[in-house]
Formats: sequence, structure tokens, C-alpha cells
Amino acid sequence: MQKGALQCVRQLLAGVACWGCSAGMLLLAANAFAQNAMVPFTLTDDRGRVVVIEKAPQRVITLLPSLGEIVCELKACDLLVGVDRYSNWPERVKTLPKLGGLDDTQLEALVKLKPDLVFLARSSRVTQRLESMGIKVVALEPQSQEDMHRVILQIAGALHLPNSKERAELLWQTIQQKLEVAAARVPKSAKGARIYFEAGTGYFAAGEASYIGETLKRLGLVNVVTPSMGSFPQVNPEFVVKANPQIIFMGERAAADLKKRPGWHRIEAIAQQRICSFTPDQSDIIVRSGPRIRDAAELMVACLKRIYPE
Amino acid sequence: MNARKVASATNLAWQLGLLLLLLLMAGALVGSEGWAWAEVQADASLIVDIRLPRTLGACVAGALLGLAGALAQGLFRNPLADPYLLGSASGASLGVAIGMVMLSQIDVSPWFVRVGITGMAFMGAWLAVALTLVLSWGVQHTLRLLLAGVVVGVVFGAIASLLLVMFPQIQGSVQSFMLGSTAYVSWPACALMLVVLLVSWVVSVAASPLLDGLALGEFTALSLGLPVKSLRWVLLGVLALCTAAAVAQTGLIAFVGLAAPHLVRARVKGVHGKTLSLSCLMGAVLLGGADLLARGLMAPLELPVGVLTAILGGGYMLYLMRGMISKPAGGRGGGT
Amino acid sequence: MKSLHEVALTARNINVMHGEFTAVNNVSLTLHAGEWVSLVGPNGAGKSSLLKALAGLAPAEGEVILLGKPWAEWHRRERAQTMAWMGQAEAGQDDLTVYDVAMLGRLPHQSWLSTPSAKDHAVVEVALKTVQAWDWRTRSLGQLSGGERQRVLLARALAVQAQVYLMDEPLAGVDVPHQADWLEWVRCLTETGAAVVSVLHELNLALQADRVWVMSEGRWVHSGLPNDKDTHQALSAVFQNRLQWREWQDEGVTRWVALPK
Repeated sequence: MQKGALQCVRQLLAGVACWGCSAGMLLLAANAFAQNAMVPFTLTDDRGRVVVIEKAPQRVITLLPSLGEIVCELKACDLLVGVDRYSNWPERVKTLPKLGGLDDTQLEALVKLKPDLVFLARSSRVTQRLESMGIKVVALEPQSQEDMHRVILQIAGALHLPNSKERAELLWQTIQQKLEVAAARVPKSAKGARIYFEAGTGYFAAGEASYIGETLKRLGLVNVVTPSMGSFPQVNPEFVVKANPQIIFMGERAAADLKKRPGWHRIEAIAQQRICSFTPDQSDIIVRSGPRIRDAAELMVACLKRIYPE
Repeated sequence: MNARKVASATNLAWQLGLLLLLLLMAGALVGSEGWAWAEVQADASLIVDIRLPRTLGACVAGALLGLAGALAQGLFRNPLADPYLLGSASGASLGVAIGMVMLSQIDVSPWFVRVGITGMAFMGAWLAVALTLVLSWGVQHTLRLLLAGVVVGVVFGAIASLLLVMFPQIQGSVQSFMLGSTAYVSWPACALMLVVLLVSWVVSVAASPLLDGLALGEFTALSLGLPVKSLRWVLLGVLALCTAAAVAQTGLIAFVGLAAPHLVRARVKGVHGKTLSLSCLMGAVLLGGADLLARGLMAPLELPVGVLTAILGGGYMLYLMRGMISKPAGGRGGGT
Repeated sequence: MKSLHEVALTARNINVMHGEFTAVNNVSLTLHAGEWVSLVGPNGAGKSSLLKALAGLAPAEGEVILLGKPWAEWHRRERAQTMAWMGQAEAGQDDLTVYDVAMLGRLPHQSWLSTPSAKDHAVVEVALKTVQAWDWRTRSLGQLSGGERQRVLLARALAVQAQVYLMDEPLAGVDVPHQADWLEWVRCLTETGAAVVSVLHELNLALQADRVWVMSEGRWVHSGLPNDKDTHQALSAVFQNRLQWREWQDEGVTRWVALPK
């Protein structure tokens, strides 16, 4: 009889201990979670302004496509209630209300959505007006990959996501890994080739210093536009002829007229037909300084494989 | 006595005043969904925070531009004069371009951020006019003033274009400023413009005898004992102030300054004290109406308000000109 | 005969330079109250420049004494109340009404920021009725012909109720009947004691004045009575002897007419 009772008590104790342990762990976890949500997040945005976000925002608006993409890649897409007119990825974003561009944002429509937090670019015209109405605004404009890393961390923290730092780093690592994979698949004959990337009509080139340039560098290509010339300079067409790139990347529409450019028939890329042209949809992916730079890299590699068949 | 013409001026004032009141009320009702009664009950803060300051701001900016246009036409005795003729438009654009470039740099001084784009536009407009006055070596020679204004306008415009080429990322913002917009006017901005308007209006009306005298010629004005030189400085200063204040808040809106005085003079002939005040009202109605149409016609899309001022003002002017062409040249039908 | 003793205006050694060119060369003159003087001379003689210099509208060297007080001691407003200048119609905005233009003549008498007083209205009414423009006082300047506009500008000058009137080509474009009327208006002015100096292109109208001042090439040539032989000689001389003189009897008074030769 005593042995049975002791065993009962032991079992009970064990059970209580187990319960206690798990309860304690739950409490700790909950506490940590709560703490995460309760601790105000402070960041300095790209205007140099210090912004304090006290609690997790429930309704978020982004006015720059890359920022919206980052929010969705951090698995917080459900928080978005409105985007700008150029945002079109992922699918869910297409159903959100569109609030205009950076310079002609529809103020009333935006305010009606009652956002807790608005992410926009540094050069947005509506920033001051929103702040004067008491809406919290964070201006972020990633120009380089380093910027992107920082911005991902800042957005994750601002949204008060659970384990924000880890999530952000995970996303960043994933992007970097995909970039490495893409770089590895670049055909050997293409490595070290000189490239001219035209980002906009009128000889606007993406230089080595831009985020597009950084991707190209990752892929082992040499940009004819050096960092000293700026990120997106407007170059003299003669300069391109002299630099004689072996590969040219540009938009589809401009690529059609390439042969008409005076003196350009001498360029190796044109003579050898090593031209990569992007459709407007593909241009969206490549030109945005968001998490899809890995997809951009893959597009570039796919083209490289086409023009350097091994 | 002058009873008939005075009644006409007062009539026009009442008509415009009534129109203005209607515009202000309509402004509260036109929102991002077009005309909507139900919304009024639903969200009062929308009306108070966004729609009212915007409508009022458009009206006050229009009044500033109307006054500036009337001053410009009176000072330069030129019916084609508009508020921007002393280079203030290019000055404001350059200020905005410089401001955007500075704000896009990494370590921007907090002073710049506080001044903001509106402050830069204001200072740019002022500096351009000041430079024009310096280059023309005083205010006495209107031709020199006009030429200096053209030079300053062209040079500042070229520098702004250079900045746009060097920093293509600011192109969109500067272009949208040049197009003009009443969408982001806040209550403090409204109050500021209203103060400028009141001060400018009082000073202009007080100095308006100069414009009347100048209508008869510079020598006649001098012989009537008017301090022509000092009054010219004063009115040019007011012109610059009004233009800069309007441009800083709403960007470059064309045509209001040019059309408002003409529209007034087509209805009412009289001394400048009256036509200046009426130009204020006319400008307010013009820009207020254009702002209403800009957001109401194709809601939630917004049309550029500058396009609508051109259509409204230009359309009315064409209508008046048709009347001018079909009527025989007035008076006793020519001849001595 | 009215007393011509009181001196309305004295000018000494007036020189007006337009850049390098001397428009008025060392001219001295005396104008008496109640006197109508015609300033005549060929084109480019410097008549307009002299008139502007006397009115203080153009920079000039020399002394001008108005009603016994030197120029510098006059306050701008008082001077404008005492001396009225009238020039040719300058092109400008024609949006002021006839009444408004005439009312501008009262500007020197109105204080800053004041509305026209009953006296102002009365004076303007008289002035407009004198030039027979009262009936179209609500028309704008732009609707009038040249001669009509000139009459309105004259009303503007009359409204000043000045003591010295300087008129530069006041009859440009005015038709003959109104030219005759103008003679009457000037007589009225001089009878009240005002002094009038007019530059007139119409030589024969000019010869109806009390006195004739002759100028040529910026210099003072002659000052004399219109019916004197020396005056006629001086005039013939400055007009390159292209004048022929005819006598005519005007109600018992011998007058002279100059015709082109």
C-alpha cells in the first residue's frame, strides 16, 4: 500500500514538475514575446530623423515598391493596407488600394486607411504633410546592398516582428545565398567580361557603385562605368564606344533601336550579338533595390547562359 | 457721378465673394471619392484636416497670384506680364532642385530639413528677384528690369537643368513641383499665406495711386507728386513676396496671375485700388475652382491643377475675346 | 490789362544733357503770373526738355525758383499742387475711366489713403465740363479717339488748380473747334492769375499768346511780343526763312499769321 502511494506521489510530483516546467517555459516565452512587443523600437531613418515605434503596427502602408517587397518577404504581408501605384509583387499586393506615386500621393485616400505606420522614400513629397497630421512616417531608400541589409533590419524591428533580428538576418542570408548560387552558374567564358548596363533611356547607365552594379560585380562582370562616375550617371555615347563592352544589358524597347545609334556598330557586344534585353516586367525586378535582387541575378544569369553557350 | 462704374465694381465683388463661399463649402464635400454627402457625416476629421485647409489654401494662393499678376501688369504697363516675370519661377525651381539634392545626401544638416522644400522654394524665388533688381541697377527702367528678369530666369533655369542631369533621381520631384499642386496644403501653410495676403493687400491698395499715375505715363506720375521710385520698390517687394509665398506652397501654377487681372478689367474699369482687390478675389475663385475640379472630375485620380487653371481661365478669356472681336471698336467709332 | 508784376517762375542757367548731347544750353527765363507764354522753335530745339526741366521731371543743372521759393525748398506735394505739367498722351493701359483720369489731377491735394472729398468731385466736374467730356465720363480712355483723349488729359491738368501750368503739345490731335475752345480755357486760367507755358506746334495758335519765347538748337534765341517785328524776324531765322507773314484784322486789333513758304 505504501509503495503504491509513494509511486502516486512521485508521479504526481513529476507531473506537477513537468507542468511547472512547461508552464514556466510558456510564461518565459510569453514574457519574451510580450517584451518584444512592448519595447519601443527606435530607429534613425534615412532623413536622419529618430523615429520611435512604441507598439506593433497593425496597419502599414508602403509608398516604395522595394519596401513593400521587403515587408512581404519578412512574412508580414498581412499588415499592408495600401501601397503605391508601382507596387505589383507579390500577388496579394495587387489587390491592395493604390495610392499614387511619390510625388502625387493621394493624401485623403491614404489617411482614410488609418495607417499606424507609413514607409516611404526620402524624396517623397507627402512626408511633411503626413507628419503634421500625426501619422508615423519612416523614410528609407536603399541605394546599395549594404543599405538593403540595414533597411531589412530596420523594417523588421519597426514592425515589432517576433525575433525580428533573426528573421531579418535569415532573409538577408537567403538573398546572399541565392546570389552566390547565381554567381556560380555564370558561364566561365563570361567571367571578367566588360558590361554596359543601361538603366534608363537617354544613356543612363547603372555604374559599379549602384546596387545593380553590385550584383553584376558579384556575377564576376566588369562594369565599364567605374564608381568614380557615380551610381546612375548619364554617359556620353562616345564613352561607351571607346569602352567597348562585351555585353550590353538594356530594356527591350531601347534594344530594338540599338543599331541606329551612330558609331555603335563597332562595339564588340553588338558585333557579337551579346545583348540582353529585358521586358518591362523583368525590368521591374531588376531595377528595384529590394529582396528580389536574387531574382534579378537569376534573370541576368539566364541571359548570360544564352549568349555564352558552352 | 461715377455711380454706374462703382456699382459694377461692387457687383463683381459680391458675385465673386459669393462664388468663393460656394467653393469653400463644395471643397468640404469633394474628396477622394468625388462628390459624397454621406462622407460628411462619417468622418469630420477628414474634412477639417485635409479638405478645408486644401480648399482654403488654394483660394488664398490664387488670391496671392491674382494680386501679384495685377501688380506686375500695372508696374510694367504690359498686359502680358505675370507674377513670374522677374525670374521668380526659375528661382523657385532652382531652390527646389538644390533642396532635393541636399536632402538626398547622407549627412544633411538639420537646418535644411527644418527649412524644407517650401522654404527653399521661397528663398529661391526671392533671391532671383533680388538678383534681377541688382542687375537692372534699380527700379526706374522697366525695360532693364524685364531684360534682367529674362536673363536671371534663363540662367537659373539652366542651372536647375544641370542639377537634374547630374542627379536624375530628383527629376520626378522637381517636375511635379513645376506642374504645381494644391494637394498638400496644411493649416499652418494656410495661415502663413493668409498673413502674407493681408499685409500685401493693404500695402498694395495704399500704394495703388502709383499704378494709376503710371497709367498716364511716368512723367505725369512724377508731376503729380508721387514718390515714384520708392513706391516702385515697395510694390516690387510686395510682388516678390506674394509670388514667393504662393509658389512655395503650391508650386508653379501658371495662368492665374496672368488671367485674373484681365478677367477683372474685362468686366470693370476703374482705379487700381479697386482692380487690385478684385484681382485677388478673381484669382481665389479661379484657383479654388480649378482645385475642386482637379480632385472631383476623375476621383480618386487627381488632374494637375495647372492644366485646369489654363482651361478655366483661358476658356473664359477666349469667350471675352470673342465678344471683343464681334463688337465694333468702341467709342464714337474711330475718327477724330 | 492785368498786372504782370508778380513773378511766377524764374529759371537761371538751365542745362539739360542727354548723354553727350546738350538738349538745353544755358537758358534763363522769367515767367509772370497771369501770363500765357508760347515756347516755339523747330524740331529738336529742346523745348520739351526745357519744359521737363522746369517741371523737375528731368535732371538738369541750374536754378529754378517757383513763386519766390527755390526748388529745393519745395516739398514734393506742395510743388505738385502749385505746378501742373501736361505731356502728350503716352501709350499705356487704357482702362481708367475718363472720370478717374480727371480725378488723378486731384492727387496732389489728397492725403494718403483718403477717398476723394466733395471738393475734389466738384473740381473734377468743372474740369470735365470745361473740356466738354462730362457726358462720357464713364467711358474708358481706350474707347476715345486721340483728340478726345487729349482733352481728358487737359481736364486732368485743370483739376490740379495749379498756379503754373506747363503744357507740352496740349493740342495734339485736337480738332479745330476744340482748338479754339482751348484758347478760351487758357484765357480763363490766366485771368485767375495762373501762368501758362505751352509748347505748340501750331504756330498761329502760338502767336495768340501774351508772349513768345523762341528756341533753336538748345539755345535761347528771343523773347518778345507776338506782333513785334523782331519776334517775326527771330522766328523766320530759326525756321530757315521758310515763313511768309500776313497781316489780318481781328476786331480792330492787328494780328499776324505765319504761312509756310
